[in-house]
Amino acid sequence: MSDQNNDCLSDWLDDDMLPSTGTTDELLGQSSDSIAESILVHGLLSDIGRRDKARDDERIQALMQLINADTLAVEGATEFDEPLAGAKHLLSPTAGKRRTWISILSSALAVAAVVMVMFIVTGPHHNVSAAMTSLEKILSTAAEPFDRTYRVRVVEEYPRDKQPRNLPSDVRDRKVKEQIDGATLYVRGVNQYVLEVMLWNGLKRTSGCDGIVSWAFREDGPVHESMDLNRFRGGIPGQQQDIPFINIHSHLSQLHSDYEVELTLKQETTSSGTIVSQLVGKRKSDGIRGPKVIDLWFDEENGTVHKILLDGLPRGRGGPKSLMLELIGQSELTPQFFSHDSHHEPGRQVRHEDKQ
Amino acid sequence: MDDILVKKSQKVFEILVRENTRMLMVYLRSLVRDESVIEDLFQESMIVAWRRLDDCDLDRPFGPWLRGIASRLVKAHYRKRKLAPIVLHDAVLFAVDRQFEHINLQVGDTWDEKVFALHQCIDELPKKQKGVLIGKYFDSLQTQLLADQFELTYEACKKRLQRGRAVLAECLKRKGVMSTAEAKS
Repeated sequence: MSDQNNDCLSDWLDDDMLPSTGTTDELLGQSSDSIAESILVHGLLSDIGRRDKARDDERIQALMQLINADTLAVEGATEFDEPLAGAKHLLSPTAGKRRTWISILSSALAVAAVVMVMFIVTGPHHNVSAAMTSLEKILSTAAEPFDRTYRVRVVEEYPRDKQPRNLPSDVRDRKVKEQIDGATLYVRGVNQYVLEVMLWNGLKRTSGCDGIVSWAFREDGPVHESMDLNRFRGGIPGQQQDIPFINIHSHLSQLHSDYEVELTLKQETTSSGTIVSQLVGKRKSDGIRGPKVIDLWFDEENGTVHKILLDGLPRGRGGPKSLMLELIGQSELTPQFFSHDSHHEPGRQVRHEDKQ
Repeated sequence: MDDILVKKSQKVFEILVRENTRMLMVYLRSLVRDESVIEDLFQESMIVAWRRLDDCDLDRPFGPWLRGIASRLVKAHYRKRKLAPIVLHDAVLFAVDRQFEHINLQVGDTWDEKVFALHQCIDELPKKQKGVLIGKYFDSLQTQLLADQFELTYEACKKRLQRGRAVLAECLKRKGVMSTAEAKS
């Protein structure tokens, strides 16, 4: 391999910071074989270094659940769903695009669950067998259609002069449309949610996902609907952060590697009389996206998260420095609650964004 | 009736998924560093494969077809980020694919059995190279931390990592797990 290609490959594989931009370097001489060998060895080592049999099983299980859900989605498909060549019983083209980028509000719940998993696995007073049992319980609970309602509260805003200087002025001056303070987030299982938020003009915006389609509408406008489950998560503070929510199982390793987790000795009693314990997750480096600190309070008996503080949110697109999510309800919602039909009067115009 | 067929298809596909998960994860980990992106690309690759299963010639090996899907998704991922790393060069991807096919021909029922020699090669590494590679891949240490730990400069640490990988590649070629350039021609 040429020195130039060797250096380039070494930068690519071993620089601590992932490159943010770059172009194809010229391939010199017979470098392709030695580059291929080097990256294959890198892949083999990365794989055995991160190998976890339980994770492999979870990954496959999560995938098959998605495929099963996609099949069901097609059974209920409309004339707006474009059929795929050669796949008569499958998805619309966008439904397969299940990238798990998510707003910080929803992701916080996933982070919370993961932080708890970290605690249970690494906690000094749990033996391995009990930890694994608890881990399985939490993972299966996260996938259960279990309803939780959270109220969002802004704890601290960034001062105007603390906004990053490298942003274009139009981005710095852009005002976030939503008043996230006071918003309500309903969550069921791993991929169903409804978020109600007030706009600065006094109108309410409701967005959500029922696991098959995502949707959003203002109280005075049509319903926008998409098979892309992440389509309507924009505009929410923290939405630029790549913290997963939809499929917690497939991202445990990322969160595992990105946060240092510590169990404090602090306990609190909630207004409902539940004693909750504190866990703190600290982001390992500035190169990682996501809040700097995640501070959560949970019921040790059943693992329910009661309070989550997200501190040090990225400032890139406006929004607060710190947010608090507080559990305000666990009552069962109606089966159709996560469908938009449950949130507006009959006959509201619906625009399918996937229609070509 | 359709329902039964769909369920059967899903079962067959699940078998293919189980047989090819490790291979696909190694392939993606060879080309992408960000673990969360790898997980996403794994899921997307498998979903696309499922959607296009009717296009797959099941008389031919499933692995190369699956890697073809994955490589297109990897390229799309980098294209969106305006990145074009050297690992995406067509000649490199072709050579990588050839190595995976060579591994597939190894004796063994599972991926672990086929690449078992890797553990022997790691054990045979010189102490210095073994130390940095274990720090990077098994302890997930960043390069700067590794450099501090081994009292190396950052650049010297990167060189040692690169050298260590090259030594491992030579060992794997000697043991027949990886193919040599001569074997190709």
